[in-house]
Amino acid sequence: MSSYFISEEQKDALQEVLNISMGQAADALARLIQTQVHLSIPSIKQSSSDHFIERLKNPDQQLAQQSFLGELSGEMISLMSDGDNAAIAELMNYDIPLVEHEKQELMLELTNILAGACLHGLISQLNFKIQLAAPVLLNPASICIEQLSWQQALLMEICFQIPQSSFNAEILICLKQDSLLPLKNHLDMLLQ
Amino acid sequence: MIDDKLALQLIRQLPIGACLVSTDYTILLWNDFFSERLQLVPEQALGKNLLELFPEQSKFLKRKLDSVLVLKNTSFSYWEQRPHIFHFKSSRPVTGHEELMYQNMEILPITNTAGDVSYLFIAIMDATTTASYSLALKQALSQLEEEHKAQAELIRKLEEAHNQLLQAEKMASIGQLAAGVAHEINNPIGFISSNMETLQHYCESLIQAINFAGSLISQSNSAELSKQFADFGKQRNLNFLLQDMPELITESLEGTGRVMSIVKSLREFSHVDSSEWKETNLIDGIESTLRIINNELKYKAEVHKNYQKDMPLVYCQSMQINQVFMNILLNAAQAMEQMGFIYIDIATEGDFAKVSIRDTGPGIEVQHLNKIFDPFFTTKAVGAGTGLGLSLSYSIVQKHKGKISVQSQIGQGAEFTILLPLHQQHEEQPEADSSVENIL
Amino acid sequence: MAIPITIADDSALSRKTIRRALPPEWEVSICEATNGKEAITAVENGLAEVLFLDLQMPEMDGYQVLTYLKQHHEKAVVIVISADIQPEAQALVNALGAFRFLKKPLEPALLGQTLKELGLL
Ligand SMILES: Nc1ncnc2c1ncn2[C@@H]1O[C@H](COP(=O)(O)OP(=O)(O)OP(=O)(O)O)[C@@H](O)[C@H]1O
Ligand SMILES: [Mg+2]
Repeated sequence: MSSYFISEEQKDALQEVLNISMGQAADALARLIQTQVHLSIPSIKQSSSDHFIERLKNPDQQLAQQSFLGELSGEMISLMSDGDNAAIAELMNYDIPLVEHEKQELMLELTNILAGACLHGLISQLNFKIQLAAPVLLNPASICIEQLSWQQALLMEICFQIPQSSFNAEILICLKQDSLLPLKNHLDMLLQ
Repeated sequence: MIDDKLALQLIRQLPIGACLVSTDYTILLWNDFFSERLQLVPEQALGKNLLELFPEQSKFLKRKLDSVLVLKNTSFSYWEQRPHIFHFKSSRPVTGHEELMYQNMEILPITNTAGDVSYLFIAIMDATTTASYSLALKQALSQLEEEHKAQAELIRKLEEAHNQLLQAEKMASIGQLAAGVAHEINNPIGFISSNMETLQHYCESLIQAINFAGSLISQSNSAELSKQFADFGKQRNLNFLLQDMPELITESLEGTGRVMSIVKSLREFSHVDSSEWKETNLIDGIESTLRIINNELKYKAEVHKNYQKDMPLVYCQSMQINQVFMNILLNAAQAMEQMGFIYIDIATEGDFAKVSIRDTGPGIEVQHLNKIFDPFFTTKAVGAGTGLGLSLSYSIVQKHKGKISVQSQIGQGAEFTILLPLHQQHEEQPEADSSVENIL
Repeated sequence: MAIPITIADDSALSRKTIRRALPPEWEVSICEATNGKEAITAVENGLAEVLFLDLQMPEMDGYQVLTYLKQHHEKAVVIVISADIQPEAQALVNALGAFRFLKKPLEPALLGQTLKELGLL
């Protein structure tokens, strides 16, 4: 990663902050759905816009998006496989089988929960104040590169798994380049 | 600065539903929006357990509230997925057709100084206008989609008609060509044949004359004359000549006979006015078709025929029915991987004349069975088949108010059955309403 | 005399955080390890009477270090400081012979109290 983007030291700190956040998130999620959950160690990447779009265009997955605004602003995108969500639905106390609008609701609910859980630790450790907007379903076909106003972004990727139910989801926390400054400042404060 | 009383009044009058519950779901605040639209005054709600008050939604609400409690995070619900959480009266009782209010909901955690959630704030937003707008849009969209589908279907039908037209045109011009050729050949072959017959008579007389000369010479007792005649005969191979000549002429006559019958078939087949309806003998139709395609059939299959005696005549467009026979027979021959059999059965069945053509070829795969009558469906190599043969046949039979069907078992062959009504309504003849009809 | 302690964590920020959280009155000589192998070397070289151990580390993770130490009867006082705070992780660590389990982000007060409880202060 180029130092212009984020320095090695800052990256180390961000990684540790994220690790701790995921630990807390996993604990909270496990308490919420009463099963052991697994969150992968987040990987921090710099991504170009075309790469990013490529990432989202997998026909087998469903996407939802949730924005966060405030001292740090960006978006969280959750990617879930289209297939078997009966197990997670049951854990989440839905009556299965799900009808279509319930599937959507579950997807949004999971996104909101994951976004909340994953961002909570990051925000509280770095002392940011943010607000979460409502999650919405995302149609990857509606995103086109011409509309994106950025070339490079910081992506934090996390895998979410429930070992007992074969359910897994990917979470992308995305920060545009111009949102990086507050992040870097707060990381530096932590490093002092 | 506003005082508590003012703040409370504000909350009461908020244009959104505002409800505060404790961590054990007890209702602590219930604003006017809630009480007016649900007709549930604060006294009936305050202090009650929210989940018990709304048992239908209790599972959903509990799930939402618990997630906020544990994750300390706002939770959302949308009208799209869950339109009516609370049975609020519609916000458009007069102009709208909605009975109930469409709602968006947010549940916010209210934390104390230690960071723990002490209250949950439920906010309900009226989304009826958006919802009805969006639903109307969706309906319009699906209507549009339906129309689009209908249009595509229309285009497909048009294409089909166009293809049939093309095929009909092709067949018509082939027919005209055949008729022309047949006509041209007919005259010369006519005099060749009659000359040959005359020649046969001449030849017979000539042979008799030579034989008579020979016997006269042998009776004259002139050894000199006999020897000269015998030598001459030997030199010219007269004996062989006399024997071979009639055979040559007979063979030639047979040949011209065949040519003449083919020409006759061609003319029958390509009857210039091909759409003419007339009382037709289907057996003659099959026979003349078989003669035309004899070449395609003879190395592929042995044809077995089983015709019902005194088959009634069928009122039909004979040329087109012949074309159906030809398409099916050619398909059978083309399908044949090695020498096989074709069985043709013609009989009556109820009010129908039934022609069935069965082959012992490889048969048709199950997944193709319902496609073979589609225009352009072919399993033949590019350029080898147009895939129009059966679709055209289908529409011809359809036009005769008949039925064409297929049965096939893989490895055992295929059987095409054509049913034509015996008592065709003659009035239907001037059914020249479609352009296809006109060309045919 | 200063007690030899080792802080084993792959994150520089984390090592710094632990250093800062150590009670100033506690006389120690500090060694840092960035992975499990280095942590074990430190223990074997007598540099870690107390070992602050992270769980997620490259080369050898915290669980492997604990297993190794248990097998080799090492006497180091191991205090696990981990981001994975699910009960399953805590139970496993305790079973592997760790003295205490502290959650990240580390609270200095809690660390001081823990050291007192263990009689190290
Ligand atoms: N007797 C048969 N045995 C096996 N397959 C057949 C038989 N008759 C028809 N078919 C299948 O049905 C398909 C469609 O036949 P159709 O006569 O419509 O078109 P085609 O023969 O492929 O082309 P064209 O008629 O222009 O030569 C053929 O390609 C072949 O796969
Ligand atoms: Mg054909």
